[in-house]
Amino acid sequence: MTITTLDTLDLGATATIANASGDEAALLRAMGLREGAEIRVRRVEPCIVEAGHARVGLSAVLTPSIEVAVSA
Amino acid sequence: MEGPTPRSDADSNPAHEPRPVVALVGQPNVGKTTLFNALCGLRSQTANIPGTTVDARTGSCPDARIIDLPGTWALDLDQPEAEAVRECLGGHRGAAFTPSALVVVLDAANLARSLHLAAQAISSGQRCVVALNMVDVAQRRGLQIDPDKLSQWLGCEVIPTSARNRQGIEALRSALGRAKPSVAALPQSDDPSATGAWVDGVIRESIPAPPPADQDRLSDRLDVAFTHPMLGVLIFLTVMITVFWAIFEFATIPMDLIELIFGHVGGWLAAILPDGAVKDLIVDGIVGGLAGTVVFLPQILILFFLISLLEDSGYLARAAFVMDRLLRRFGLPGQAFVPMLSAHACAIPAIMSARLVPDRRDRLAVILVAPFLSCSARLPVYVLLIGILFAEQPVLAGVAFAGAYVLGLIAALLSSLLARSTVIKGAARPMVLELPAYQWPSLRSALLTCWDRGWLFIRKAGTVILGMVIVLWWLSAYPKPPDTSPKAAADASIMTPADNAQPTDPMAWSFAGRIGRGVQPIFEPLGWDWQLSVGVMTSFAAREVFVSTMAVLVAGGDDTEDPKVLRDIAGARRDNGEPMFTRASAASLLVFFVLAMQCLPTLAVTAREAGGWKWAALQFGWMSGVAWLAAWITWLIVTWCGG
Repeated sequence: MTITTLDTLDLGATATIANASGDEAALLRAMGLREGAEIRVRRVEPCIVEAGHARVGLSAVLTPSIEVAVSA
Repeated sequence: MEGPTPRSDADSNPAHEPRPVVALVGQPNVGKTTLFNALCGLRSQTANIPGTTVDARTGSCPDARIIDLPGTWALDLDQPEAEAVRECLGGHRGAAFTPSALVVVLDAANLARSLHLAAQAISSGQRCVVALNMVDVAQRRGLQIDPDKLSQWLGCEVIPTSARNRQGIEALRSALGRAKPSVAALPQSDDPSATGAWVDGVIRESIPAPPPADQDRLSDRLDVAFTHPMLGVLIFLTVMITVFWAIFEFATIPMDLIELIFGHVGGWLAAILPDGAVKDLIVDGIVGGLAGTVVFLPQILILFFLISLLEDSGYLARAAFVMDRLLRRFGLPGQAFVPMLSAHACAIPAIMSARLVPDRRDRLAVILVAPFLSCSARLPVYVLLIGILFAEQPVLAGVAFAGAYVLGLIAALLSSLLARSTVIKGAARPMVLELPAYQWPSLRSALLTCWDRGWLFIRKAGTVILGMVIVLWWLSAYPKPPDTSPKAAADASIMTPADNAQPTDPMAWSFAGRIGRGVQPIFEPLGWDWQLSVGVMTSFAAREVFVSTMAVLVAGGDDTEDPKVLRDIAGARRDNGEPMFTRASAASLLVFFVLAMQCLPTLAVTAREAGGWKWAALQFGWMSGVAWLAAWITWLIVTWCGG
């Protein structure tokens, strides 16, 4: 597994949330983007990820602060 | 810590037994409000949660009084909605907002996400029932949830519901009386890893068959279009221009009807009441004031109906997400575009629609700058002044018209930028937005939203706004000018004001007129004489009043649709014989009207939605100051150019 940030993922990539830091971390967890949650990138710019059956749009300000684990 | 507040007698049934107060708690987009509507229908109203800036809908069903608490993602967030829910659950917001039981609403189609808030709410110790809502959507996605297993994990009864289809509503109603505190072992909210492990356990056992991979190709294709940086903006502009057009197009007939009805009522009252101050108050103050306010109701209803449809369909979240990148540069969130566009029809519904903005500071920024955008009430003034400036020059007139709209937009964006570095410091909150599944919007929900917003406005119009309009009417109507009839003149030598006012001009003689003359030195640098100053002062009740005031003052009539009256205004002279409207004075007046806050009802709505009169005062002071400065600069430039 390689740790990277969400803004580096390509369209269709799947990953696991490793760490969400910053002011919005609690909100991200409550919206389903908690550590260990599997996500899929539905759109890169602007960033839309799918966690479970929920789609979440993320401001470009936030994506560099979300660490994800991807299969090497 | 305060203890729970005892409920008042008002919450008791005729047998004097306490009626349960049940609060609906849930995350956004779980169908909580649809569930509330299914439980209560029209027996509901919106009320402010005391001590907060957050509203909640309250209603009743045969078994209980229901509170639809604002949707929040979690209880421990630093957001007004989360704080309001925390306070209500703790019993700190008065009897009316102290629940005796909770209905925790879960989204069956997104169960893992919903469990985060559920664990926090259920562990508050309140008596609880869980509504597993949107089970129809979950079934369509191949999700089979075992309610009994879920009930074991949560420690309370779980009722599957589909509020849109009114499925499970009766079962939920009957379960309210059986609500009890949970005895399950729930995770502590300050331990994310424990919460995560608990959620995984609940999902593993409650959904025995793993959900199939999502094959929602239509949603993917729609998202590609609606969230595209260029195409998405174009689609959004098209949608909102259509909304804007619909407001103008469909509101015209009911607005005319409202004016007609109030006109007839006023005429009938004028015929039956004896002349005097009471008649003036009722006919011109109350009926006239109500007419001038209630006339906005059709625009408000149409706007909220259409916004509700767009929101319910799942489109509005995508649009807000796309606009966020553009508006963030000016300290505004993506959702601001809806109020900003609708402000071109009227600032009042625009400010009310700022409730779409979830963050309070972002919402404040939107409320403060929305009135800069040119509303329909400014149009008659634009027509008059641009007609004076560019008579027989239609191309230049068109450019001036467009320029007025662009100037308002620039002022709004720059003011927001300034506000975010001063009074409401900080950038717009980074957008984290759930993009709900696309669905056909619910007509019933849209109509209930209309009813709710409309009733809220009517209540406001009947109290604060009407009071303010009556005060301004009184200032404009009193004192009356002295009687100058031949008989009166023969009886006494009539006093004449020391100034140059025509003694028979009621507006000039009134308090508003006198104030206008008093403040004329303030407006003198803008190139305005006392008559223009009076016109501007009276237009602080409503902008369009300027045209009728000028008609009365300089043209001797108030039919502002009569071309002769408009020509008389354009050709009016000052007391020294010079033209009243030079290019410089007309241009400065136009710029002033583009930027100034001259609408008392808007200020009243700002005070309510922003949470205090200090915000309305700031809005008034800032917009008036900017308007004066810009008008002065305009006058200097046009004068320098020989205007």
